[in-house]
Amino acid sequence: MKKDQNKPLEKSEHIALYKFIHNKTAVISAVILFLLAAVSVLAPVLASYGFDTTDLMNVRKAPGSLHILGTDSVGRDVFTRILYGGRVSILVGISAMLIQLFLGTLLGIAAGYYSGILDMIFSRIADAIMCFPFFVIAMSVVAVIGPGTFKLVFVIGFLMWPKLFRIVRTEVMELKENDYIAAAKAMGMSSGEIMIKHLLPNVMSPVLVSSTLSVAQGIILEASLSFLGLGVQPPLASWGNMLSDAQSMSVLANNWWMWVPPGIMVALTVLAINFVGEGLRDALDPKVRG
Amino acid sequence: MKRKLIGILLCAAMVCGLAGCGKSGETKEGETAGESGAAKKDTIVCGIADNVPGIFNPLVATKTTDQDINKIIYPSLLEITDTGDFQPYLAESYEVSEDNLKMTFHLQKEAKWHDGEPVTAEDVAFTFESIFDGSFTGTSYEKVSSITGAKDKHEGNAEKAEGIKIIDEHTIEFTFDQVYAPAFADIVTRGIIPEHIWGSIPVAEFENQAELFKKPVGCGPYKVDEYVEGQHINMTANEDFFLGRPKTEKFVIKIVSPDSILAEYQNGTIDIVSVRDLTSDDLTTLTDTLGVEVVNFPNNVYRYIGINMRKEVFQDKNLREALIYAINREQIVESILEGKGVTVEAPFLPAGWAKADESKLTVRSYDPEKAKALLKESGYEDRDGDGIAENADGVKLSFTYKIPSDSQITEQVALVVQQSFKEIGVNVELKTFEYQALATEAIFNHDFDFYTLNCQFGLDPDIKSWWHSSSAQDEPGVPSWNFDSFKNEEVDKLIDQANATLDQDERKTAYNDAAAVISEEAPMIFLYVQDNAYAYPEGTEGFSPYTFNVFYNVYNWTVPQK
Amino acid sequence: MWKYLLKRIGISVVILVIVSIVIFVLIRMQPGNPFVGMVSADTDPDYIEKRMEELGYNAPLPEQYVKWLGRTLKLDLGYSLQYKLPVAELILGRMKNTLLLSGTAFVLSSFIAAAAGVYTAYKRKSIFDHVITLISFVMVSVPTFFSALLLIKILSFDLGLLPPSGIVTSGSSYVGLERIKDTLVHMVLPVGILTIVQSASMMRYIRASMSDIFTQDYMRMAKAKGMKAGRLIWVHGFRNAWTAVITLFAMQFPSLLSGAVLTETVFVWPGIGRLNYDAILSQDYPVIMGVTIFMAVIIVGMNLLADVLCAVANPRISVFRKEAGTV
Repeated sequence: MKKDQNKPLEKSEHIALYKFIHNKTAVISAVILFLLAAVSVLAPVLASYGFDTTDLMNVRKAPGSLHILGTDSVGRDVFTRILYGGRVSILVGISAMLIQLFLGTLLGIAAGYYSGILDMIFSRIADAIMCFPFFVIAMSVVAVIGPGTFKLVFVIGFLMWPKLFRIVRTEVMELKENDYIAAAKAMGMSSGEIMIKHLLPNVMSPVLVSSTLSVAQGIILEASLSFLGLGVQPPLASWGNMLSDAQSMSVLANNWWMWVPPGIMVALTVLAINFVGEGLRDALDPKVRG
Repeated sequence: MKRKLIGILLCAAMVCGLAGCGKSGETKEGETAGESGAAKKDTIVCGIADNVPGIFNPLVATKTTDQDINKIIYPSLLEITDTGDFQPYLAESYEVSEDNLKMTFHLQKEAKWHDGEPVTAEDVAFTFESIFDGSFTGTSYEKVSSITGAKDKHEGNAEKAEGIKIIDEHTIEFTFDQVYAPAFADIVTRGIIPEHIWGSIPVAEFENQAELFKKPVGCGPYKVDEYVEGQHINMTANEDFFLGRPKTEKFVIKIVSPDSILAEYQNGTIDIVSVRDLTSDDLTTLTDTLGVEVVNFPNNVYRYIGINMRKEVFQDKNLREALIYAINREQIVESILEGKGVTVEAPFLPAGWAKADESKLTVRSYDPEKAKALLKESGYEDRDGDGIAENADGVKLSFTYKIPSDSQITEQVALVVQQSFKEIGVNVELKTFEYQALATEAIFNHDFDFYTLNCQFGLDPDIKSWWHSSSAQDEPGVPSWNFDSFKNEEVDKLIDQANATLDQDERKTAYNDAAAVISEEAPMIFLYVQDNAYAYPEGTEGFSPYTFNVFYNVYNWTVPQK
Repeated sequence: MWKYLLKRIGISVVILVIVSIVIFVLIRMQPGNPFVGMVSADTDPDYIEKRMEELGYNAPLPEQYVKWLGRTLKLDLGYSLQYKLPVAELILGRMKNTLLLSGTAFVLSSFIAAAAGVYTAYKRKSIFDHVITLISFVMVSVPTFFSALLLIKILSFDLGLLPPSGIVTSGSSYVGLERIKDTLVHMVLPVGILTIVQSASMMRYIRASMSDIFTQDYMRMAKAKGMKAGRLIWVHGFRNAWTAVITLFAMQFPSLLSGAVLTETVFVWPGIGRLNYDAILSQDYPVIMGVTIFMAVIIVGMNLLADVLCAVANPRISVFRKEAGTV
């Protein structure tokens, strides 16, 4: 039974990989993401300044030999902050995704599998959270718990998991009608085993796609919250707070080096993640035929 | 001494009385000039980069934006000029008695409320009686409680305060129990409200009169036509204004985003606006390409870093001094404020008459080596090589620094401070709060190591509520406006001394001495006074903003037609 | 059908109760107190205590919640601490503007997204599909506030074409057509940015769900039989995607309202999002609570409406799906 079940899965994974590799946009995007991540991780090696080292003698200096991307309003090196900012932005996106992944998958499988009262409770909580207008609630929550990188991750993760929860729950509900689940039950497999061995692997593809996209969403949300003054706190750099530091018309007009680099980084990263997500969807979704 | 003071006051009254006459004459001239075709706009649009809740009653309004607009709608007895002197406004003249305990004001006989009723001494009395009322929900009682009988009325033992006497329809007399200098500025700059409108409303209910707020009846140069919450306030000229009809027909307050002020000028959707937080580049764009002029003048606010003196570690004066020496405040003003400000060493505005006497101050200019030496003297040095100094008992110099999220400049300064402290081995973690939330942390909960807030002065330079030991509270939840719990007997004595006289010279001497003690004690890191700045179109006339009042002569403003 | 509707309404009420409890607790946990900004240094501490007591700040939380809920049900949301106006009045006054902004953007983006989504799904992998997909991807890859600022810079600051903020020209006394024109000019930038961002993300969903339908066998059959493209899309495609589309629109509405917070802040648009932002800055709790609960009611209402519409559009399938739990 188990073997039968696993074989087609393996095969479909091969197909998916094959499809993905042949999706040029997705592969290029994945390579870009890998490079971005590598550069961010190596930030301390690559950067020649501290990310929080201010220099009041060199404020808003245009790019030159000392500062290849110039300096910001308190004389910090923009290039250095781009590197460190990448760490923070990507980390925020990924951590928020992990919270969503954990909550959404766990509760989704449980709700879908057990149905009944448990499903009722989780679903209503998820519905309630989805009724919160994100920024309105995020602002209130941050006002209560105070700003900070980890709190930010928590807020994004906690307000965004219901989406994944719904996807997983729907999938599980359909899956559990399958004969092999009934068979597994008849064979005396425990609910836990069924959930982990049979249900989890089968919901992985939609979960993978959705999680990828939520990393991108996390990066964008962090940037927007930075604009409202609730994002990653100084002196830490994130692409979002670098962008929101450049709000004024004169910075936009005269100091391009303060906003073009973080703008490009956010756009490039989010774009690449979205393409990878799209590529995964095409590769994993049996319904879509090229 | 006293005699000299009265001389000054009376003199001022006379001079200003004349000036007042001159002004109304001028207004008429200006009008004819306007009619003869000088190209001036019939509407002035004034931008405000903050919300305006629209509480148009000067007794219960709390937000600065509302208070500014109330000054246009509701004239006070006197007003402050751009040189910091009082000049007659609703009161055409006034006298102060020999013993300084009696003041008599003679009201403008022409003054009429916007609905045509005459302004009388009854209205003035009513305004102050309302403040005395025990059920009054505003906050200004304390300042005027030195008026005789105010306390009786406040506690419900009297119908009226006996210290307020209506002599005739246009004359009113105030009597005081004792000389309390800060009361004068408060009384003469308090907007007067009409009794025939507010008299029928219980004092406790003043703050809930949304209808009346939105259609305020004052006697000022402009009356409110339309208040659209979150957007604008349209005002039109009051033809019967007692100093003559205002020179511009319409006055509009527009709520704008600070980020798009340049775009507003580009589109011609704004005439006058505060450009305090704009960078030099922005200002250059304004002045060079958009035909706008910018006027800088000292603000009535200083910025500081508060140190929590309740904590044992900060009792060490060497540490406090080291922190001050560590920061290059001149450079902060130079680079971050782009030179638009001055550093301060004591809690007095350099632009006010009570400004600190520099020869008496202890000035601690940037000197990181001295800072390190002071720390070492107190036994702090980096023993374990982590970059943070500690003493022999292992007490690390590692703190939190709470900052408000009100402007980019605040954040930039905080970043520089953090770096400067790091250089002498003091580690601070920055925490950002909404301004209001931070004020609660500092004022109510006393929960901080360092924090930054504004200290905003009214007209009177009194510092009792911030520096007198009687204002210090250490219990969490009980508000303490002496935020850092600074207690010094000598300073207490000097403050009391300054408040017990109306003589400006005497007060100034006491304040200078207080400033000397405070700066020597280093209880707080005084940062700077950032200049205020307003932009206005070339050819604007009459606009001359001053530290404490921007709108005092709004009736004289004209803006040229483009 | 009726039973299903009643059940949906019941569920909506439960959700609202959960939402209201969360909001209430959250907001009462906020640091600071609303009087800090109102009192000055020489204010008597007893005075603050007295005012807090009057507002019921010292009662136990559950008691405060029940009282608040009771008043809320009577549409009495209390008075704004800052504006001294009834919160309900403030919200309604601002809601008009938010509806004008978000509503217009919603209608425009729905049309654009539907047209682009259906067409790209039909012409999958064509140049047009690639270009549109790329544009929509780029649009959702830049934070809204930043694209908005760039738009202001280019159109308003550099070119001076459009007003950067507000809803009407301040100080103007336009009436009738002039006023409408004035408002429209002010709407271009904020509505434009909301529409672009919103249609970009909606388009992708529509494209995905339409792709599913176009790859169904009966569609291939119809196409093979030589059915005209327009008819094919409309008769078979769009109708079958109907429920998905309704659900999608209902889902997009919250994000539109929420996104309006940013747009309204950037463009000083006097809407409900900006009201809430200002209220948070000045700790005007009754307003924050009012706005949040008001938005939650609207969103729950929209979801309910979507369910009803789905049920009407396709009674058997949707009721069956809901009962099976596929919300």
